[in-house]
Amino acid sequence: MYRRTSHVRKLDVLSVDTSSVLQIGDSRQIDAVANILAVQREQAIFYENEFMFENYSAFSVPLTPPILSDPICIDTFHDCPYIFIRKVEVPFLAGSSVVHVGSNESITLETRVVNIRHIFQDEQKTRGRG
Amino acid sequence: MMRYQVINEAICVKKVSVSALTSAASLFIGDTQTVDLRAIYETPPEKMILGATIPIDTAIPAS
Repeated sequence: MYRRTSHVRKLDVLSVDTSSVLQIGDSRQIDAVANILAVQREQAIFYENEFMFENYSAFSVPLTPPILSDPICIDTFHDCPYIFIRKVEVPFLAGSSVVHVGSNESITLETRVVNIRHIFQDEQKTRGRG
Repeated sequence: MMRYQVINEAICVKKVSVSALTSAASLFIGDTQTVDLRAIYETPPEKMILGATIPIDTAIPAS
């Protein structure tokens, strides 16, 4: 499959997270997975085996892509073999995301985020559930 | 059988600026064939506990 070449003069990236990819150049396959369990406690006291990934179903439910009913025949023709971009600014990359300069064959990204907040309520105002 | 034909002309862009890419997002400058993006974002109401109590004796203060 004939691929185009990408010309990027300036690329600004400030921070790339542990599960993110900044790819400059061709690649064949990229698989990135991020499981994020964010806990905010008003009183920052945590103990050891408190928040485990296993107790949350969001991290175990399978995410299977839909299968194609009938095959698709894709043919692409590039009149101009180049992609020109002068300036690319992507300051932050987080949660298994990808900036890709170049061509690629297959990319699979998966992110699972669960947020938990524990807030102390002050006695007289609200009767919180909990 | 579905036929899908693409004819790419010249492409010249002056500036691309994205404030942030997060949760299975991708910015491509180039060709690709299969892209498979999946994300789950969960903020369950019962996880927002007002008046949470933490047993003090077994806790390890966050360093």
